[in-house]
Amino acid sequence: MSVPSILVFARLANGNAGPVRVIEGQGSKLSRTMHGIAYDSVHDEIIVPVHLAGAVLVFRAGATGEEAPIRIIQGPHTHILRPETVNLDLKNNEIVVGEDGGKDVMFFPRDAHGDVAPLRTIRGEKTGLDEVRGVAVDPVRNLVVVSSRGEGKRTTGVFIFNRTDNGDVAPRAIIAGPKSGINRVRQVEVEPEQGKIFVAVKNNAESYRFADASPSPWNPEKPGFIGVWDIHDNGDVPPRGLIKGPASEMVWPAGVALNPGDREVYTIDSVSNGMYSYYMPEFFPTKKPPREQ
Amino acid sequence: MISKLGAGCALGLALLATAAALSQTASPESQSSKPAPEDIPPIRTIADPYPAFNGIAVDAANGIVAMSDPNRKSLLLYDRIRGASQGEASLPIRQILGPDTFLGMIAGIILDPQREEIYTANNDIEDTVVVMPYGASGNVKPRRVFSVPHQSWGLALGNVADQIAVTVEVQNTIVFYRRQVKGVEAPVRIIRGQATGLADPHGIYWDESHNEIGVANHGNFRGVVKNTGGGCAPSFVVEDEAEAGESRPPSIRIFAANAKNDAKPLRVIQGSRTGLDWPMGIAYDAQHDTIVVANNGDSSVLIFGRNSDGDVAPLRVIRGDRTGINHPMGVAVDPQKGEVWVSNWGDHSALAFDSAVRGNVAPKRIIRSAPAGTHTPGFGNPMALAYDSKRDQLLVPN
Repeated sequence: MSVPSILVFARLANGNAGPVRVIEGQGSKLSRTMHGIAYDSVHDEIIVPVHLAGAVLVFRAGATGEEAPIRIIQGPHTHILRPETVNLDLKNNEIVVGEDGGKDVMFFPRDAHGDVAPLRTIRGEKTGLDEVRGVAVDPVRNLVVVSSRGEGKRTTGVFIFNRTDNGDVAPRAIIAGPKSGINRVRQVEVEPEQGKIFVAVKNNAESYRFADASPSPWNPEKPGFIGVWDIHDNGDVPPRGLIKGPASEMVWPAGVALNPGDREVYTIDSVSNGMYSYYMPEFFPTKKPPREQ
Repeated sequence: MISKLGAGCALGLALLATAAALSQTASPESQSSKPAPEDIPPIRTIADPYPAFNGIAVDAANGIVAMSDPNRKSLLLYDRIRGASQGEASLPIRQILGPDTFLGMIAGIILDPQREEIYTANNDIEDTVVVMPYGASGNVKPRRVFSVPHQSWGLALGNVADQIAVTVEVQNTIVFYRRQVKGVEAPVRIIRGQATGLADPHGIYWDESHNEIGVANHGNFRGVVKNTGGGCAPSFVVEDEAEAGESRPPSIRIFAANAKNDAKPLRVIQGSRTGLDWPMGIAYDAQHDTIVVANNGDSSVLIFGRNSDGDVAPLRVIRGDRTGINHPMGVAVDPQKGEVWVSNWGDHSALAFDSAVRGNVAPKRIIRSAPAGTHTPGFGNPMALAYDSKRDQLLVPN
């Protein structure tokens, strides 16, 4: 909100730590409202949506300062207008873009550059999608997971489609309802080996009741949580794993990222402007090889 | 969690809390209670316990300088002639924060010396402008609150017109309300349309001596919002009609103060010679007849002639390691003392310069919201993150 930027922190940083580098400035073409980010571990790149310029930017992963993106997906043929979130399907070499205003999910070639049309688009009444907040691909089961915030009577929850779905198609499954605990959702990630979905369930009430001090960041009606579901869950299913509560320090977690190698889960909280790391061996039972060096 | 947060606020969470508190992995209450199995303390936390300055405003008549703080969600008022000493944090005259204040992700701030009121724009989440009396302190209700469009950023007050102008990033719009606006009211006029060239507007000033309004634009554009409700209601609605996104060059656009609808700007400062790089706050300096710009992208302050037009270089630039300028967000002019104030997002500080200076000069005074050298994580309503497994780093877009 305050300054558009990509802040990069050492994983082991703790306390009131500063970033080790920052991507920022006019030349970066970043804007505010970048509500998604993905790291490409194969090609060593960073992908971000730029909401206010209707673009998806790809940077060198080691980019710093006012460094220009190496690729930009932007223009009328892209149909990108309000990109809210992004993710990667490295097995199928695709970038996945979720839009809130467009109520859709678009798939582009990973190396797309310029005013290029999407390969596929999931959009339409049957999809049940409204404001798309998060996307993630399970390449093992060929599925795409979408978190969507529904206005009015539309469903807020986690929608699961076939990865190759195109057009106005119904989801295979929807995780939503009171038992799920989902009121508002944001970023999603998939751990494909286990077939688990990790969801940042923000649960903030939206604003626009100006005469009432709540909702506001000061008075969250329902604190959020990180929820874990099985990729085959469907319906009003409680999460199979949770990080939630006063000790967790999270109020409205908006982001979620995974590090199976160190058995850690990360979240970012828009109320406290804080980033939290959790050691969760129970979420990652299989010991992973050490990180790439 | 709610009570914990509220209690923290009531005790003055943002009042120079110690960094050590953040390194704790769990609060004493949570350790002594029996938390649910899922209530797991973090092994690491990165957060800034100190106020981070965004907007800045000066009231020379009443001797105050005020800053908006979206990090701890507060307003801070300082004595404008007292700076920090020995790198210590400055003590504000008053800090306004807490659940009753309506203060959240605030951006622009202005002062009304005549009525002794503080205006600040909730840029996100709440979509309101909060009006506080000068005497407010702690967790107090605002004098007035009025609804503004989502992503409202800059504020300017026109005393003759008796209106308040509000820039709206996503809608590429300037919205004008009557000054006494309260609750949800339709604006009295809007500047919006292709001819305006508005694209992700931020700071705004109202120069009543020349009947002009100046606006700093980042250049992000994805079409003109045409919905009729935009700008007059708490609307998140944006046109469904797809228009292509564009990344335009940044600019300063000067309009007639009474402009409306799809008005062309009188002048446009734009181009490679301008040095504009994420222009944020902007102010008019009557003493020098110049426009002062917080140039966030290259940590500088640019000063243009008021009548500058086109691809022109600034008359003066304040930049360099001696200045202490670090990702400035706001600027304000003190005509009585002949000073320019700069609020730093990157350094927990606000700096006062002689308004005639140029180059790499040290500020006359510094106000600090944290001890000198304190790290600044820089989070501002973050919503996503990713893990870079190659570098063992975490990536957070703001």
